[in-house]
Amino acid sequence: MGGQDGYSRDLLAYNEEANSLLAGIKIRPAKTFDIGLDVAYTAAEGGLDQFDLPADDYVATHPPTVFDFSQSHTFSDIDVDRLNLDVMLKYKFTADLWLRLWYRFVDYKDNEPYLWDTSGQVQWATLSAGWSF
Amino acid sequence: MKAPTHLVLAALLAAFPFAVAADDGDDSTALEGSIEIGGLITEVDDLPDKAAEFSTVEDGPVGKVKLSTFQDWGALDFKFKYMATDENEGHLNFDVKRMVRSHTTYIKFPHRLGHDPMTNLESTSTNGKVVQHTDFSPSQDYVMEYALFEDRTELQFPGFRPLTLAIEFREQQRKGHTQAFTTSHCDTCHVKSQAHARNQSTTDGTLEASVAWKSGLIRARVTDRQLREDNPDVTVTFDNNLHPELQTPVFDNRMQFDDDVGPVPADRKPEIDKSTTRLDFRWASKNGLAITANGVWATTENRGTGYEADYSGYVVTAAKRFGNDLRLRWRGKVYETENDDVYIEPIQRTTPAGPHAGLTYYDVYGLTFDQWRTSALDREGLESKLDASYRLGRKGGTLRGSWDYDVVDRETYEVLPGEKETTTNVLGLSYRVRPAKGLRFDAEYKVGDVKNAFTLIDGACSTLVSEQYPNPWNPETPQYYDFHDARIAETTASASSWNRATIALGWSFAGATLTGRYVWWDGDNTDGDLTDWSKERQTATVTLWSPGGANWDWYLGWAYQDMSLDAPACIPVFDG
Repeated sequence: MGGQDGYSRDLLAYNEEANSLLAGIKIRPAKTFDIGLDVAYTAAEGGLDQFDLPADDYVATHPPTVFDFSQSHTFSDIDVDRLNLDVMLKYKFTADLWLRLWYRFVDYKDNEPYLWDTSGQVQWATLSAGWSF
Repeated sequence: MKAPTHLVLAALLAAFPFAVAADDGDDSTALEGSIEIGGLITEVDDLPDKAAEFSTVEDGPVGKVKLSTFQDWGALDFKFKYMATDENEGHLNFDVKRMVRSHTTYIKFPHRLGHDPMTNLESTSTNGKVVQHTDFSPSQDYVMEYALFEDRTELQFPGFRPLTLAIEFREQQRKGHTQAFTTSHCDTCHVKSQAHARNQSTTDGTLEASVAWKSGLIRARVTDRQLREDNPDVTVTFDNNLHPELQTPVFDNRMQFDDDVGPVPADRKPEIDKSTTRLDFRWASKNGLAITANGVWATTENRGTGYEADYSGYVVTAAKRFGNDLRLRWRGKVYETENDDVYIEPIQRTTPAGPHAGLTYYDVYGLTFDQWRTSALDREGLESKLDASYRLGRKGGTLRGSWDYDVVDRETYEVLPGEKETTTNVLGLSYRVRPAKGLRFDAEYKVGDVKNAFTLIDGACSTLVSEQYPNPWNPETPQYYDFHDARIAETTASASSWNRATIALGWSFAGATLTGRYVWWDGDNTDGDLTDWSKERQTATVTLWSPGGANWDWYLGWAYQDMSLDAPACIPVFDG
């Protein structure tokens, strides 16, 4: 039974980067028709550089001891991308009566699950009729 | 569902103007609006926790109602959008002859928290030490429904227009389940998880009175807040404390709980009462000098323990224009926070078996760890922000210099050995110009210097080198406090010096508008022992928008950010 035999210290480097692209357009091809389209895509990464945390003095006097941190820097990697798509169509039967279709698609990809895989796709669609007065 | 009830009450209040109009014989009845009704279908593949973190995934009817009217008696504006039982929002604004003015908003949406399966907590060693987990609610979805209702209604009387009375009501509800974690540690590191049913409400009621005159205003307001939890805690039974190899209860005097005490409360959420009083004063002179002042006094009480936290703060601002080109502004603030001291008295358990049988930790080592804890937030603060801007002619742009000075004087907590006071100076210089029609350029540079930036003294790097001992009960075997006492490194995530540069551009051309912004920040801290922290961050955004034509418009955008963080890690090297 022993105790503490000193410490090991190393400088860790953590880097993260994110890029987002967005685009959208609204068109009115006719007085009775509106179309809207929005797209957004984001990719983000984050992670540690490889580190050693060497304990050379201790290992020299305790040959069977192994300090292997060669993979530890990968344990908390972040690598996600997300796609958002929105489509809206609106058709006016008269100036006061219309029909609207709205659709949204979101795809979230967790490419390096940390605690658990949070990937998922969700789709929403509404169809509605409206009356203004 | 309290909040929708409040919205209905507000809607009934809104009907009051129609009654007034009828009583007055007003023949204005024009009411504009729209009604939209339909249905929502959703489809989920894998987990919705991130893809629909703040959105409903329910199927069902949807609807939207808008109503507005402007009449001699006043105005009404109402909108409510229903997407699902867990996602809807609306507002109601009305005024009656400028005597009664009311603004009400309501929003509700889900927040998906995710269910941690704890599968990363699985490891074993060759001598019986185990990290394990148990999920008592494996199929529970952890979602909190968030709802916020806010109303402000002002009354102003025809006979005395300078006086305005206001009543505010705000209620925030968080309802659902959160994942409660508890840890047993001795025989194994055993993390247990269970669903904690939550129904939390934070209710604010405010009374306000203000008197305004041509050049100024005095206002007083009193707010009472109540935070309540229907289920403040869950219960947990901790594991039997056993030596990992011997499987005997020889370490009980080092632990706070054991299975022999049965279920005990855990994951406790405090209930809080808070009262706040605020006074405001504004005054503007004819020669361009404007002054404001306010004072805030607040007391927050934890209903479970009775501990209180007091805050008092005072702000003064002054602004003056000299001629057409030079303007000076200053904002000063002093504040104080005081918290009750807390007495910590760890449980003294006896060990049933082994060399320490029948003895408490105090009996063996002469230490109880009973202590008074003072709050690190007990402090007095001073903030000063001074800036001067000068216009360089009609087309030469505007030059602005700023100096921010900030002092935090802590009552007891040290942030570097012997140092309780942090002083921050930030100098800034910016330039804004419109060199040509449709073109705008902004640039700013700031330098920050922090004396005694926050660090955790001796937060890491235990340098203890101990001897070899036959067993943990040997009187000379180092204890946990020995490892802690031997730590030498100050840890931090706060910069002691930093630089920040910002460049922004706006350009309108050929019917389109291009905007861009770039921000660079770089800071570090090497002030403490073995402290070696640095961070660099860049963000950039570019957007291009065009109205296109009469029947179309479009936009493109790009956002970028990167961050580099360097910080030391320090691990103790153990044998045994």
